[in-house]
Amino acid sequence: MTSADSAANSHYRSRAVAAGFVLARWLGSMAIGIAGLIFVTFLFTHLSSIDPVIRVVGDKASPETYAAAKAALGLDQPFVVQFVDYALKILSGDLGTTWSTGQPVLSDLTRAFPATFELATVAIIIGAIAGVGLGILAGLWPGGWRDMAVRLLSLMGYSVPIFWLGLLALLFFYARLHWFGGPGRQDVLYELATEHVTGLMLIDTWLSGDADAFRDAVSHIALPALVLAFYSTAGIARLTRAAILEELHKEYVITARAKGASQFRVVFRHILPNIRAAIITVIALSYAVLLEGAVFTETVFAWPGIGRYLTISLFASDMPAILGGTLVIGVCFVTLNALTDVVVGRLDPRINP
Amino acid sequence: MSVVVIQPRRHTRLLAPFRRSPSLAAGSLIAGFVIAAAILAPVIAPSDPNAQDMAIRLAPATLSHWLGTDGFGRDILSRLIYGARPTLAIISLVALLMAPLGITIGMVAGYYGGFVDRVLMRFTDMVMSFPRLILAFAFVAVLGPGLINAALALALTSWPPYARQARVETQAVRRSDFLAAAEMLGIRGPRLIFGHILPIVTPLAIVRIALDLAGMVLIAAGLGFLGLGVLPPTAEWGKMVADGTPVIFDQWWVAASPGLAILVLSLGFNLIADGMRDLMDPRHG
Amino acid sequence: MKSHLLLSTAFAGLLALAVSSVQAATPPGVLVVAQSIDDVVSFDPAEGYELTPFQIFNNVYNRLVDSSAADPMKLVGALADSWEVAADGKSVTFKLKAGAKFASGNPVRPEDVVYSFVRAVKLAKTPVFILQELGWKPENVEGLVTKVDDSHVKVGWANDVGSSFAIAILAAPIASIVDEKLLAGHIANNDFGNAWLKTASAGSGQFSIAKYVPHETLLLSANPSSPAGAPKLKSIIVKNVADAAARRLLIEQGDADLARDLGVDQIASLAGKSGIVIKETPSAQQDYALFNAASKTNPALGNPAFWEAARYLVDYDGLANKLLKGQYTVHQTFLPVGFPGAIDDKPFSYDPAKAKEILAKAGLKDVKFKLSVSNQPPFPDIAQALQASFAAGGVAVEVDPIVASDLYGRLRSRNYDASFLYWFPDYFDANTNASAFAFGTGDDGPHTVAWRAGWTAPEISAKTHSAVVEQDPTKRTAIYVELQKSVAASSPFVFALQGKDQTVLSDKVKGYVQGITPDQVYYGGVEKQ
Repeated sequence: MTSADSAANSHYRSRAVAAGFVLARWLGSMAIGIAGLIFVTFLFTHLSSIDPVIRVVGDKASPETYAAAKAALGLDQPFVVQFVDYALKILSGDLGTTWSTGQPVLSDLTRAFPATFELATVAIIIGAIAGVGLGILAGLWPGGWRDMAVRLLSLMGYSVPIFWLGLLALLFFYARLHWFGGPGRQDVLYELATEHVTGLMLIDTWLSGDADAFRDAVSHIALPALVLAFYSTAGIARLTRAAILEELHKEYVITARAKGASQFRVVFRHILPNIRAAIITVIALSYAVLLEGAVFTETVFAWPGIGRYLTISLFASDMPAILGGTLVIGVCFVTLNALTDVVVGRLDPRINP
Repeated sequence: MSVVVIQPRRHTRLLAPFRRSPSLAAGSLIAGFVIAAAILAPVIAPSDPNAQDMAIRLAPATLSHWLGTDGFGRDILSRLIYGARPTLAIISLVALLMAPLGITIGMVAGYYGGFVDRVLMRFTDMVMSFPRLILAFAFVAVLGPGLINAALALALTSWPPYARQARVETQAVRRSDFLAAAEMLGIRGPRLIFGHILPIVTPLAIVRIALDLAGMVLIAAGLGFLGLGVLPPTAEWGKMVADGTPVIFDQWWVAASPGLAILVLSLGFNLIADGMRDLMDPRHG
Repeated sequence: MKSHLLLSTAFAGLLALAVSSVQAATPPGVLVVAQSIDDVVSFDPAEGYELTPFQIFNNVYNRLVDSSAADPMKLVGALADSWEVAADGKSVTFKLKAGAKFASGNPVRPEDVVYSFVRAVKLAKTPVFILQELGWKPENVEGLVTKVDDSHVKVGWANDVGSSFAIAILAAPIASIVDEKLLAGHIANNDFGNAWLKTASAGSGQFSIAKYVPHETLLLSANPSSPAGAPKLKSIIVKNVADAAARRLLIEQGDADLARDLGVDQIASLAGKSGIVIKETPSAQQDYALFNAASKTNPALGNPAFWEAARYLVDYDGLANKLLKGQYTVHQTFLPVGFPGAIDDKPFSYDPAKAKEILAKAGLKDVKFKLSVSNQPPFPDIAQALQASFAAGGVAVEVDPIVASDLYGRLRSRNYDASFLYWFPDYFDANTNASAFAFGTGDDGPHTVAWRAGWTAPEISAKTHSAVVEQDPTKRTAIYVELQKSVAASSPFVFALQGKDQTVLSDKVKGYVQGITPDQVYYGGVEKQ
């Protein structure tokens, strides 16, 4: 073994150790986050004033039926025992059954999740492309009309109540102009014809080979996705602009420009690679926020995802369903946060605090 | 002579931030306008916001009802003016609850350091990684709708950034001569924290509150939209949008104007935040 | 970055595709129904007790006797060909229709009838209280319901009730006949196949459940071999559209053939549009106010003078003819118009001055109460209207919109001031409402609605009981008329409104029939042109 070999080896090893450390840290913060979520949701069930027994037996049950159901639910255990039971159940994947439909919460959520995932993903793709593009425009010509326009747009994006924007979008682009499909993911006509393979309607209709069904799915997702993307565009544009401004004065940019590199080349070959960590962070964080924003968008557009599931359950005070939905979004959130930390740490060690 | 010169100078200094940042000026104007409307509501509202008149349900804008009427025949303009009150009340309440909570946790963690710091900051990070909006929803679902509960829910999920910031600042002053002197005089523990560290961390916390206001307006309105905010018949913008939702395709004005009000107030606060960022960090531009 | 550019062009292309939207039409032979199905708990007739399952049960199951589609007021034999009341008035023997088959192809046997009733009683789910009116309990039901021979089954009861009352009970959805042989293959943990039947069907109705996705769609397909005859449609799609404004757009744009539960304002915007028919059916739903007379914190609520004043503080006309125009009529007694024995007296009208006078005479000052209502439309709206009309009489109302189950929980434990809610009869007999509103015998008696209102009325309760055991229909009716008058005059209930169901249909849909109770929805005769 040559010395060069062993140097490379030790370098490799230290990288592996570092990676292991990062992984452990990630798992650690995720575990704490999820444990915290489980505890908080458990506290919520306990604070709730709603009698779960009535949820099960209904309003007109005789006292005997009521008593039997109460015993079956096992609500007489001490607090700690109930918590441990609850936590173990959740960790084994049992989120209980809903009060309002008696369906297992997990199966409800697995059905709803792809819809939210699809909507949020399409939205973040639009938001990322538009946001980075606008950010570059504004950053390259600071103070100009482009900058002003982008700034105004992102101010609006931050300020507009998304549920209201969604309503107006439905009013104009669906009800008045008929440009887009209405509420829901598909027209009734295609709804039963489409085989659910992935649960992602764009992919499922594409696979079905029915061009009309695919068009229908696109026309349904476009409006809510655009509305949802509006908000993330604002954040991504603002950050991209700030990052570009910061880089513009750096020596390497000035050197590149002095060497006669075109504006396009400077941005795409020199600046963007240097600020990618910042951009990825903001996209990942926007994605997490999108999952929350989906509550409003899905409610307004009758999009059968987790957000709408949550609002329906909120309206019915269906605790197991609310907590299950909160838990799923919470886990996505915690995971995304932890994952961003790791990815960004790899890309740009300076950012990691 | 010198007295004469100093007077206008002081004057300009007070207005200087507004001159240097048009955003700040515009935002302050909008926010001031909304706050004035909320305070003066009984004087400027054309009619009682809760007076029903079933005969003129869902009427479009007329001379007697500038923005039309809602599903109970109530004057939308009056409700819009009164509706500024709960929104402002919720965000003030949230600010008053969340900042002290976050600051206290941050100061305690920064001051004591070590184990206390690790536990408190782990806890802070944990709450920070939660989906704030959704937890607030679940919280209100449990406690029942209402202004106080909505504010409580938001405060309990929004304090972590304040804790982080206060901790960093506390750590910075922890080793300063000024604190060492205080400790030598026998001032320590809570007395030191609240007597001497608090004044240092407060200014930045206030700046942060200003930056957070716009987001809180939107979340408060969102709670109202989902029926988790104030109780009827109190006028609240988010609830008013929700009331207009079923008739959006025909009587669009019922939902349009309260939504616009949310947008305007939130825009005002965002302009203030933008302006403040301009002033603190010129690069932000 | 290149791939981003590619993606963006691809997406722009997709948008362009989407923008050329197509005007949809529903497929022939298929009825597309737009309504909210978020309420569904179970499609098992022994368990389902919500509006959506009720609307489906008549189409998927048959009972021994059913209300007929042609005349929903009349009971006719469904799976029973004929029946005979025993001399002692304690049982009925039903002769089953020959050759009747379930959708599975299995024949309908006396064993299935026995099994269905025993199953419902032993499962003891929400609607079991209806069968308990017959005195059926898990211990005795097998002795009371017995097979006579291969075509006859004897149904007896342990409670002291008349035979017409008992037969009315057997027409309730929970008395649907299920396919024992089919269910045998789906039993888990001795649940009588309940877990499976929540989302499936095992009946002999004109349709059967082909697919059910909670919160999304219910698909029914035709059962041509039904003893009730083959339906004209191939299938029915019940699509969950939770938002009334969206339902309205679907029916208006031809994406749905039938839409339910549109709001007043959606109906108003559809009225007169071509291609749209608004079908109005009287409904047995009644909306009433309820006060907690047993409230310890608010004694005014138990004062009969307050009850009387409250009757003048409801703006009946404003509610029925303005706020909820077209969806309600004013109705002030506890039996809905259309029910045997119902009277339509309207002794009260909105008169705040008179109410003030009554309150002042009784020395009631500054009365205030919290009005807990369901957070589902139209109740928060009604509550706000009541808040305004009571305020005119000097009574302060705090509106408290809560989840329905929370509301029922509070009513059950008498932990409330007042409420305004709806009521549906559970079977087609006056006793269903009388036993709830006119039967309060204190804490030892059954916990009826009267008990929840803290109302002890021994004389009225005795009369209600005498009506059930009375075999002579004319005498029974006379007792119910008397009862309605006394409850309307003085009780902690203020009956205000009776519902009117507005179903919106495409004009291509013919033959849709609906009756007064929520389960009387008949899709069998529907055809599309």
